Amino acid sequence: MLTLKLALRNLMRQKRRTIYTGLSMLVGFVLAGFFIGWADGTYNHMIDKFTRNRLGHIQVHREGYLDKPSLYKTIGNPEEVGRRIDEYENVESWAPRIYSAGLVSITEKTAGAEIIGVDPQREDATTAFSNKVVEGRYYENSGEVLIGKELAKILNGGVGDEIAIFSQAADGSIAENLYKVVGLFDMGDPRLNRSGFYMQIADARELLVLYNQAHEIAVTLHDLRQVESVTQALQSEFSDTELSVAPWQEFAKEFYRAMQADKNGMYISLVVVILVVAITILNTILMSVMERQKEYGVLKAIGTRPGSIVKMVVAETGMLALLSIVIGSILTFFLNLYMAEHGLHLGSPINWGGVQLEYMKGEVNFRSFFLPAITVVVTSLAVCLFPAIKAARTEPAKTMRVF
Amino acid sequence: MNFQLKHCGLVLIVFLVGFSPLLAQSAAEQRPDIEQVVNAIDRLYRHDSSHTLMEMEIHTPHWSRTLKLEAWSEGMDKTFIRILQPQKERGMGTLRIDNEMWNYLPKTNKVMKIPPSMMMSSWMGSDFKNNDLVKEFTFTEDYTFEYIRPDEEKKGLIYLKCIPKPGKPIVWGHVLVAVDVQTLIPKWEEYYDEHDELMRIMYFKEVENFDGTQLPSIMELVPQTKDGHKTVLRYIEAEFDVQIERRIFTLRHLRTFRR
Amino acid sequence: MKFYLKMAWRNIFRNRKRTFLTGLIIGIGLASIMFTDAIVVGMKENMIQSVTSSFIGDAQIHYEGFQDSYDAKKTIENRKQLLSGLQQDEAVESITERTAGFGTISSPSDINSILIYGIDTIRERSISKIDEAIREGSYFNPQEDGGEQFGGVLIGSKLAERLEVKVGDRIVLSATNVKTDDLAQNMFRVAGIYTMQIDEMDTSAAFIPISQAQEMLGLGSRVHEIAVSFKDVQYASQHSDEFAAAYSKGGNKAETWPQLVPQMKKMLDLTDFSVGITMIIVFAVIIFGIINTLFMSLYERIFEFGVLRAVGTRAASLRKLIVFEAASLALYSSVIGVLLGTLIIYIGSIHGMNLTGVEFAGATFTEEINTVFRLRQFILHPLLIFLFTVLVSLYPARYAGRMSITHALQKTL
Repeated sequence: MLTLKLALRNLMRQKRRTIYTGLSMLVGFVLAGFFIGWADGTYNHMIDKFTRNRLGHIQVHREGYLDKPSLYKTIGNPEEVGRRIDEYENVESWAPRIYSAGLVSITEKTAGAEIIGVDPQREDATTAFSNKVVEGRYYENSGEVLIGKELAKILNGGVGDEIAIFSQAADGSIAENLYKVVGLFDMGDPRLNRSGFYMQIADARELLVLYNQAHEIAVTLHDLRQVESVTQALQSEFSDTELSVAPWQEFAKEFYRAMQADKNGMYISLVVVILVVAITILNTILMSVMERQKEYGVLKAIGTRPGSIVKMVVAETGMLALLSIVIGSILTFFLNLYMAEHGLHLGSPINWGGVQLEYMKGEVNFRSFFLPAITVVVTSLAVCLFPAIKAARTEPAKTMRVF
Repeated sequence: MNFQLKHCGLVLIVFLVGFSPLLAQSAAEQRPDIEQVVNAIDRLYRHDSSHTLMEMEIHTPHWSRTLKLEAWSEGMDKTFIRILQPQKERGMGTLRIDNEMWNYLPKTNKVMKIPPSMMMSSWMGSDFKNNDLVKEFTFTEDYTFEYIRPDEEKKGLIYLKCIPKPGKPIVWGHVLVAVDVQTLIPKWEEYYDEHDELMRIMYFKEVENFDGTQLPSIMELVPQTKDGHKTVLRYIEAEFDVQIERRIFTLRHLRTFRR
Repeated sequence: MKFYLKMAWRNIFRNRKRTFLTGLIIGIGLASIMFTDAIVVGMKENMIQSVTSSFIGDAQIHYEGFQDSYDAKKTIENRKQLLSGLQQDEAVESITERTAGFGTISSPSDINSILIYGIDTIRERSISKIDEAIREGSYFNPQEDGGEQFGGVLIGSKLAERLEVKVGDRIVLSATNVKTDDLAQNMFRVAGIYTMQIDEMDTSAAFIPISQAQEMLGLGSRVHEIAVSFKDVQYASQHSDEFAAAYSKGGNKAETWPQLVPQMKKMLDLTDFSVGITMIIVFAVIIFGIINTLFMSLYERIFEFGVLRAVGTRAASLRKLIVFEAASLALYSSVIGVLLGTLIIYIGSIHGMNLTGVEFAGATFTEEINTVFRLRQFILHPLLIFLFTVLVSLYPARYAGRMSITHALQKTL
């Protein structure tokens, strides 16, 4: 207790030095915390944007569909499945889809197409599909379809044209029908732009004889960070059915790997930042302790035991570190909160893989406090010990020399 | 996709129509001249013209269905197939002239030209493969052949092993054909890959008299790589070497169908 | 001037331990920045190379619109002129011609829709890595070409799996013949199976010698694509317009990789932005460290400055001395930093980071990521550190010049 009191008084006595030392820890803490929040936030923001674009955070399929998709591997009664998904409060939205392939034709030209059946309201709520329409409009009535902008070029057609589709239904019969192209979309994915044929799920079910069925249910959550827990919850929810639940890391493998590579790059930067912060703190503390060698000499001369000196130095540094961490946490919190909400505007939006990236976002997470705090505490305490021990040991006469 | 149907039809026609009894020399236990046998089999592919009514049964693990088809052919390069049943597909048609192919979709009243690059896809899950048909191969010209005696030899049958000549765009390693020594009508054809793995079998069953021609009325194709798949083609009526109106093989005919 | 320099230099080495410590600390900061820069440059170069050297090349020429539809009729115009132009171009290292078209591949057990590439079997090796990506069988053997009636085909490992074929097995390729509009079919034997780690290439592409592709497609001597590699890696991004202007003629369109793979360009831009922010943060921390160090070391010497003032040193001289000391310290630190930085960048350039096998934007990191030396690491970064240090020292210099002598001399402990 006495040690703490003494330490506190020492800190107060040398205000300027205290401020310098504390500030170096504080600034180091805040910058490191900001960096981590920003790096994690940007990373998660990109994943969130990318998965929300089309895939969703979590997908539900019939078992084995992801490995080997088939027209026959369907989810029966998707509305009921959706209702059960909706029970989880972290779930934001879900959308059922039907997939098949066929030939489409406008006038003379014919091309192969990927048929995708979507629920207009749900798809828009889940993946903002209507935003991807670059020409024409979104669905309003049944019998309307949206096609990829490149597909329209290949077929020599466009908005307002009638388009015929030719495929095979799930009962083996030949599926054919005529629809009206009301809009062209840009998914940002060249393959889908070249071959995507999006119809309303009700039309698709009728065409393909897949009443009350779906191949996929895409789920988005309020927060990307909930993916793991919600996936697990849904997996146990549907464990007694033939459905399987997969998080984005599984169905967007390549994207996941790309993100991992990006993360590796971030780790290097993170190590550099932490290292630099640690060095700065190390330097400041080292200098401040070295400067006080004389003081320790005096203390020793008046009979203070070496152990007490060490204890006092550690207590001083510890208190200062703690104070920096507390203030730093508050600052970091607000800084990262601001970044999470507003972000840093990119000069020109980066359009990438169909994802419009306008902001670099921050994030408030545990890591962004924990890692800097560890850095501050470990470096400051480790660093102050050596000079303190040395001071406690040296001859008072030697350390007390003025010049 | 749709082309497979047409091809199925084509195959059947080709196989069924071409057989000519004149070549069926009875050679008793003696093996007939191999050239003659191969020629007889190949004749299945050759007929000036045909007009047939048939049923196609398609079996898959997920569904089974039967189509009733009416088909016309002239030479090797013109085929016309019209679906009569079931009701859903009634009126659907396929026209093939040389390497071009069109489908008619009655519901949408649209004729769709099949892009050549997609001619190879499978249609309706039937097990006939187009690449056998898009180019017409004959054993005589595209294969080398020899008699063999398999372990399980049956009386009254002779066996031919046919190997594609080098460079021919044929995927098979070899084809084993069992032929009735009396009639020279094939019993079955087994298609192997190059590792002697059996890929599919075509059975020829129930020889009947059509318009004076002895023909197996049932052809059954069973792929060995896909469980539960089978396609059966059954001839109900057939006439050969008949005069076929020119208008049959036109897009206008494809487009007009009275339900 | 010289006097102050000498004085400053002597002063900073009076307390060797402290100076060395400060120098080391600023030096480590500088080295970190240099290293970060070097690794980022290395990563970007690797990303670019993984895109360009797998298959695409640094630049490509097509007939305008060919890539949108792969319409086999859209062949390159004035091919001969173009080729001789490229061959005489100083910047060009190598070129190769290709045809590309949709078609199908069938084996006894399956059929697949694919993109059939016709490649110049010899020149292709200098541009793409198909030959190195062969896992089973072998790349085209030029001598064998004449000998066999049917050619070899290279297919991706995933496609081979799907078709259930192995090296030596027969497959049939079909495509539309441009001249006759007929379906052309040819038999090939699987010569090699490659794994390029690019999904599109591994699942739905096949490579055959260009002469056979031209014959199948009825193209004569026409081609769809000319891929170019430059002598200088950076040429494509720096001289994109020049290249486009020189070869986009007669309906042809010449593009360099930033246009061919815009996602990669975007990704690199994004990386630049992130790295920029990271650098600012790192700089901020380092500069703050410098401020701290400088202040504390000067503060520690207030008594000393008090004495100097007391013996008649003018405030201006003291200020000058302090700034010169800071400058000397910065110089000393920069030297340490550059030495340290060089060492770690050198180590990084030998022992790379392993990111092999990671696919991105249609390309794969095929090699380890190594640090790359750039002149700016040795000039710009140390200069910035130096300037900042001097700038920062102005404040304590001013302070020291103004302080009251009596106050300074009071400070004994």
